[in-house]
Amino acid sequence: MMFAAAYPLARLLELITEGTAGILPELTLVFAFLLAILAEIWPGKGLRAFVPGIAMLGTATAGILAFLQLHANTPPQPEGIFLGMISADRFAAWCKVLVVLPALVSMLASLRSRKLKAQSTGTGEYYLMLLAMLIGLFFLAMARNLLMVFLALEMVSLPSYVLTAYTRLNKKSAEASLKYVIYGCFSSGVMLYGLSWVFGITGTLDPSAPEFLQSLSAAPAWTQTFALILVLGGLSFKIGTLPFHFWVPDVYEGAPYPVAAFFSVAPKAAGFAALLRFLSWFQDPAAAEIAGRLSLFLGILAVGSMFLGNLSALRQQNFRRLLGYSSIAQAGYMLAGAAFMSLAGTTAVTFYLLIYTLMTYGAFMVAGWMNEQLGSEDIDDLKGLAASLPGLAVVLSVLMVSLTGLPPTAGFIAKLELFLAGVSGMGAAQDALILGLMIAMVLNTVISLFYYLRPPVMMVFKNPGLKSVPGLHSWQKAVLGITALALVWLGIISFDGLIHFIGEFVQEMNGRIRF
Amino acid sequence: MTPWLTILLLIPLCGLILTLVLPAQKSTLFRGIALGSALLQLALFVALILPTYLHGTPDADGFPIHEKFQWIRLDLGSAGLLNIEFNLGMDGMSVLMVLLTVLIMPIATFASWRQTHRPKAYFALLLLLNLSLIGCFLALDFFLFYLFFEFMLLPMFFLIGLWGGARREYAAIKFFLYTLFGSVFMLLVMAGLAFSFTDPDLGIALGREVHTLDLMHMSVGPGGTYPNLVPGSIFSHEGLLLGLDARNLAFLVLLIGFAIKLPVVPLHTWLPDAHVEASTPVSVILAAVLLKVGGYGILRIAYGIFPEAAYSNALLIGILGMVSIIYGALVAMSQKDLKSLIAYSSVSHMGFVLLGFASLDAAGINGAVFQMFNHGIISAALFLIVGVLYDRTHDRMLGNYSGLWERMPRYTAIVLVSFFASMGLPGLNGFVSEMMVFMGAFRADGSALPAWVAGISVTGIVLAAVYYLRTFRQMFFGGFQYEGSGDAGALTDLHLREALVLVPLVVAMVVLGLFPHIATSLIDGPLSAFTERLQSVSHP
Repeated sequence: MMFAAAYPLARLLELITEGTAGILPELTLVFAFLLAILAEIWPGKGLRAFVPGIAMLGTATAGILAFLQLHANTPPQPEGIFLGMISADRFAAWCKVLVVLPALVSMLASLRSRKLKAQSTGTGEYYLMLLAMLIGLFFLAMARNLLMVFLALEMVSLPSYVLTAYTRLNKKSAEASLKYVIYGCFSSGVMLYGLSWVFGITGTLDPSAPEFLQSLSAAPAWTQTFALILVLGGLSFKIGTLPFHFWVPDVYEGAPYPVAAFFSVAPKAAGFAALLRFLSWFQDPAAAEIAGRLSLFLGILAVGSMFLGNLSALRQQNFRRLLGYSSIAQAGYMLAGAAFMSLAGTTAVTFYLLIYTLMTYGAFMVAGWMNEQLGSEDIDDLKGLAASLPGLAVVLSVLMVSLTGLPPTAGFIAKLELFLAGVSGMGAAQDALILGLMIAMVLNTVISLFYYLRPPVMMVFKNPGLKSVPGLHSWQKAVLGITALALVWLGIISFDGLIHFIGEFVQEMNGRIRF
Repeated sequence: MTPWLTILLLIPLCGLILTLVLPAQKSTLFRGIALGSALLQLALFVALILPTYLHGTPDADGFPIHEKFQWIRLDLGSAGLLNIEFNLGMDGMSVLMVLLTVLIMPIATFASWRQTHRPKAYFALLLLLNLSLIGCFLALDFFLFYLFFEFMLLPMFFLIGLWGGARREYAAIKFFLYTLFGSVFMLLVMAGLAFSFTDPDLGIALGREVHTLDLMHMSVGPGGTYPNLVPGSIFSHEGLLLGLDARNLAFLVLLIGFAIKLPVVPLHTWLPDAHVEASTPVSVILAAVLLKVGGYGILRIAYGIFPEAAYSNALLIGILGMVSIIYGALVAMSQKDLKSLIAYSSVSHMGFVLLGFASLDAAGINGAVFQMFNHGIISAALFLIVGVLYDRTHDRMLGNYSGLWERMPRYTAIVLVSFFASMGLPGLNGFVSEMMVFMGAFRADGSALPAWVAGISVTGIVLAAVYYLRTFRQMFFGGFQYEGSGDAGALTDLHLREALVLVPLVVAMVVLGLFPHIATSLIDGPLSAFTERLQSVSHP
């Protein structure tokens, strides 16, 4: 091992024991995972019923521990822990919280899902897979060394494939899973190939090593670009943007709905965490040239994802598929923020991740209600439902208006933050790129209005059909109500404190850069 | 001091909350709540706000009424802090607009008295619209203004789309898209402005650089200087965007955004659709108040922040006004549907507003603001007039009617006055403001606007006389005849509820025509000071 040479064995052990305190949430998850396996295979099957409970308890505990890591007392960890493999800083903790909340609601939704209960093979592995995926997501949010990024990505991907295919007798589920596996493997291969180039150029996969930036900057332009594009390409699979976005609509439509809802937000949060952390290494005056190239590449991906997502979403009838394309476009907006390659940009994207999680997850909960209770995911079948479900119509309108990015919702503030970040980076050579990105975002806001408005318009404007309308469970009402309230609260009452808080820990994360 | 302006905003909000918590079965209660809130606003405005405005001493920014509350302090990273305030104020530019809103809202609410289809949602949306309209006219922080400006799209969208005619959905979405298209680009300007102006006093108090979106901090100071402009920022005078003058670019973006709302030919095509499909009260609000947000925005925001660009683009603005006047009038002449005729006449009459703005002359700008107020009164009456016919026969084709005066003498009298006011007959309010606009526009010859723009625009008045007189002769003269598919027996004269909403408007037309001083004295001083500051930039 390349690290081993640098440290004597005793110091090495010391570093590992010291680091253990930083991964308490992950250890909790691992513990819950093992406990759940035991309960699942315990003779007599008497303990099986406890699996979901163990999973939820473990997730909740891990979430609380991650939330505690958000506290200002958490050391900034400029060197990372476990020999720089991961970094359990507040930025990672933030992304973990963004992952845990939807995970908990999805587990709850799975418990109440008729379709999952009807599964002949039982649901024990289902929760195990969710736990395994959570562990991967947590590590992805913390991953510092590029090898760790790759391992965490795989740790996330493998359970995702299984979960997508969980209702495998459903044709769509099987098809989605196959597509997912194929694209996943391909993108992993691409990333691994890119990592091998990076290692070949620099001799290390630790971006904090001094030789990393030095060798990379010294390398010929095309090798730099080639290697980094391959690495970013692999990451784009998890955040669901161009060029590896093909799986998104199929998986969102085909996977069991609690899983699809979870997939729509959690891997994005963790994936963007890894991406932003990776990009932060290049936000260094010494790497301005590489940063410029990355900016351009990310900008192209961003614009492509926005237009592709929004234009394809225009023609969708299935609500989940529509949300799939919408999430590609939303990831495009966030990529644009990442392409600014600045502290302000990173802060804006980190804030956007929270808002994105709220809006998309909320919309998916509506899709789940359509799937389980209404019995159809066709947008046209929402026709006239506002008359019997006025509350749902209001919540759906808030979610969709927020996704479009209009006031008085948090979606607007999130977009405004992106624009502010863009403007703050202007005045240098990047002007044309930044301006182009912002104009693309603005145009896409207008395009997206067409399809985001369709579900609420269907509900409100059309005359109802004659069939009786199933209501919402109280837990669904609670989740949707809280989400909508949070979106309005963060949209109009108060968001400055939160953005300030995010700015602090993003700076801490970025501050690790050596000068 | 009591924050009366904030209370003016809270009244519809309280009404809204009350409407939302009451069960939908109490269907007749909601109209009462809506009307009550609107009347309360009117009373508050006339009894308390107007006297304070007239007798109060203006503060440093020239506002006799000014309410500021700390709201949002957004971290901009290394650039410092962005201070966004809940900042309301009323000056000569906004007083007539607010007055117009509080006058029209009770009328529109009362005109919706018979709304039986989902009354709860309808009146809730009406209150929401009320809130965002008044907020727009009072907001003195760009962020706050933008919130209200964007927010009014939603209630209007649903009001057109839910309670409109056959093609209401198409019209609602078209309205939404057009306005959104204009306003999202404004967001980019706002992001740029957030880094371009500072609040020095607060900066000292907080010990770091504080940026502001306060419109008063952004406006030009005495002697044509910008005391708060950050040197080297995007919207500083040397600011370039891709080699183009950034300030000019931003001005044009704002102008297009507001011009869509005004509307200006060729960005007007959403308006006839929206009007034809919307129900009568919604049309009234749309024509009387909503369009004015566009005009007000041009003056307050675009002219206020980028005065020198207003000067360099005066010819463009003047020509846009001229084209709107002539084109709107020509298209109105060929309309067979009475409602779309009035919609196109709105396009034509809002052209005068733009012409007045382009003159950059005290008389022209005063006239333009007064014209907005007058058009609000007149167009509200005109759309109510169409509503009266439509309620009876569900037929708006003007070719189907003749000799209506036989059956509806009182109605005919009101139509006559309104038509005359709209075409600018002396003695009625439309005449005064149009004359002021032309005075300004001709006086601007040699400085902002060449005389031919105003000269060609004058023909718009003649064209208006042509289409109004032709329509009037067709519908009201001769023997009574009705050729449409509706019930001719239903054509009875105005009943009390209709008279109650129409008569105050007609009285206003006559009174303001004979004594325009009542209204112009409210705006004259402050607006002339504003024009002077504009001119101090254009003639350094």
